[in-house]
Amino acid sequence: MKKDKALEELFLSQSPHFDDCADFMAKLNKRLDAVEHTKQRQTPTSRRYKMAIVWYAAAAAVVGLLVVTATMFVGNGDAGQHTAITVPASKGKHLAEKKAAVPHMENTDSDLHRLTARIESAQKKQVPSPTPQKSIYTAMLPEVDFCPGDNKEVRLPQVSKERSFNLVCKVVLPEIIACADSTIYQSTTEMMVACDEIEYNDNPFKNVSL
Amino acid sequence: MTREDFIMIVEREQESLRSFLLALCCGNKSDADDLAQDALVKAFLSSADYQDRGRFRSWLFKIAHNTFLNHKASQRTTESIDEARALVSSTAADAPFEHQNLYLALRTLPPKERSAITLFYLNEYSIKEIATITETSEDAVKKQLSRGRDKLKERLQL
Repeated sequence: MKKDKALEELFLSQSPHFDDCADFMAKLNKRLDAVEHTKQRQTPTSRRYKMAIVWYAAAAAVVGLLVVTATMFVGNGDAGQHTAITVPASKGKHLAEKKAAVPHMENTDSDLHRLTARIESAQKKQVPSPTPQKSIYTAMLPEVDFCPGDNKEVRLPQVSKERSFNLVCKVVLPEIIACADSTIYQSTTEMMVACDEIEYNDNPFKNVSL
Repeated sequence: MTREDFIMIVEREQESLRSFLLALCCGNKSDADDLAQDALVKAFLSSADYQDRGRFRSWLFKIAHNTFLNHKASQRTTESIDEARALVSSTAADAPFEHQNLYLALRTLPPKERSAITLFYLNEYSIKEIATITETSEDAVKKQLSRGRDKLKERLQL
């Protein structure tokens, strides 16, 4: 791009001349002195400030570490108590689902494994129902929980003598035993003995299968 | 760079820097000198980081240009030439400068066009150097120069 001659001449002819260069430089030196003075005062202050920040950060890190350690220690102490609680299988499943849904529950891994193992072992120990599913006696029985605490009166259907034996000894009694409650242990034991005696001595229909 | 080195270079460059800022301030000498002092203090504070010694003058002009733009942004702009004429005539510092018509014409230009025109015609920088100082592209500088030249010629009736 070429310069416009007229403009160039105008600018060059009107170039200012300064006769106060010494004053200008003296002013500049004064300002630079002030700047250097401020800088010298600011340097130790900023150094102290930086050191304070570093110390605060270090202190915060140490406190944070202590808090985390303490939390972990308390968490491990609580784990023993958690294992003592018997959680039903359904709740165990819910817990596993919740654990899968919430990613920050990694710390409960060991607890969850222990809990799952307990639930599985409890399920294995559970007495399977001795009554066949499609038994006529099962069909005759009302849908009542035989475990204590219900306080319900169970009316058994009127059946013949041999059927009554089978109903009581092979259906009702195992249901009561399945409750595995110590409070009824004695009475159930007596019932079992009675049933065994009848079955092996007097029951003429002992070979009749349910 | 030590303070002595800095002062030595500034003594050599201060006149061109002050004339550049005087043109940007449209003849207002006190404003131009204040801006020059500010720019030189900024340059001194960042002189420790300055690497390219061969282009110290451009670097100084770049700081001065940015200082001027910041100053301009913080001030009310005067658009009309009548306002500019009134302002210039009321400023005692402008009296020693004979060439008020040029400054009045420069005042009507936007700051970027004014910078480009001043650097090109007064300080005799190339378009590439002006692009570096004003941190724009060469095409933008060419456009600014072209527009500024047309406006100045129209105002000055050249």
